[in-house]
Amino acid sequence: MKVKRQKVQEAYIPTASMSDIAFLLIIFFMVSSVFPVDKTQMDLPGWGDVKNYLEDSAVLAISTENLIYVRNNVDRNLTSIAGLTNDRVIISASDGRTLSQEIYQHNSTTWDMSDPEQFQKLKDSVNEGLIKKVELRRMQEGNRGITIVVKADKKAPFYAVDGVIEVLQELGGQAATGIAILSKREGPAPIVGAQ
Amino acid sequence: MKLKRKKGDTEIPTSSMADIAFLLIIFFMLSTTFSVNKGFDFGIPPKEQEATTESESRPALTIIVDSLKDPNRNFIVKVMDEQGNIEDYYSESYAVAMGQPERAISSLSVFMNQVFEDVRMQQPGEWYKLPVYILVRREAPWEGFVEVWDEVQDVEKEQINFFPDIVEKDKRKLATHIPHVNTVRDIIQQYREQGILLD
Repeated sequence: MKVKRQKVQEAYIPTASMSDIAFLLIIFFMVSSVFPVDKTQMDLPGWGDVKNYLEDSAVLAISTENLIYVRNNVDRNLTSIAGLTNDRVIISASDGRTLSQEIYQHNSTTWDMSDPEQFQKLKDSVNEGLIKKVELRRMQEGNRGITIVVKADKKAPFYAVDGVIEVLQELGGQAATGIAILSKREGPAPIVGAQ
Repeated sequence: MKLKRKKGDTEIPTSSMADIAFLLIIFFMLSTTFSVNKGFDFGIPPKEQEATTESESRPALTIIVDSLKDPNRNFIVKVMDEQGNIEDYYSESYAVAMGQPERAISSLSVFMNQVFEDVRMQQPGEWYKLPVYILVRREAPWEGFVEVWDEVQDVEKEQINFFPDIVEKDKRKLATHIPHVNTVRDIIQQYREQGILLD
């Protein structure tokens, strides 16, 4: 008797659900990704014991036009080199949800915070460009605490950062829960509990 | 004659769907930043910043942050202890370039600790009252102030007074330590006469 050869079953991998899996992964990464709101290039000052702040904190960035950045080939970090001394101080701000926008700029040689008119001008710009937006966002998010992070290049002049902090201290009381200075980690790890 | 229409297979090709999806995944994976902002707190002090008239000419530890006139915008830190001894410190890279790594800013806390230690030995019980002033030149790089503030934090939080009026979380605790504004002006004047401050 002739034995009928069994039909060879076609081997295939079920790929129909592949795209479902892939879309699940896409949704996960889309939801978890936070795009940095402030893209100003910065070489931040070092600080021994850094703390972490949320990526969607409100940002106030202070930079000067005279800074040139060089990317280190080894650790891919930016290094700032100061160029000409007389230039503009540029301040941009973001409430943490929208991209940062320039809110104030002033010539560095005539920057003088002891001049009440100039101080008021900076104060108004920060109030309009940052504080009001932060207050609005805070209301929308059910009074969640929002930290304002100050992002200043390590080679930025002290007077610019000092003036901005002074303004923030006067204005930020109700809107923000705190002011933080951005820095990069430096030096050995702190020894916990050592006195 | 009846034409027989060929029935085509109506099927949407979905095999490339997964490829498209994975391309999207790769894009979102690369653009995702899980990193957070790193920094330190700079508290908002209460509004009233009235200086009290305590401690007129008490000895103090004074730190002056000045900018060096070099293209890299390095900074110099002059520290004057309560007896008038002046020590110089430089930003890290500058100290190394000068061949004096022991003069790098990271050694400042060592010196300050020594000063506090000495004062404590001489006046037991009073040592914590040695105020610390930080004077920063307008044009000095921001980094200079941050580095000094970092070093000072390492020493003792309660011993710090601040000039110009920057921050300290607990102003109430400090209120009794802040000397009258005139005293600070006098100190600056004194430094100018001694040629420590340039203008």
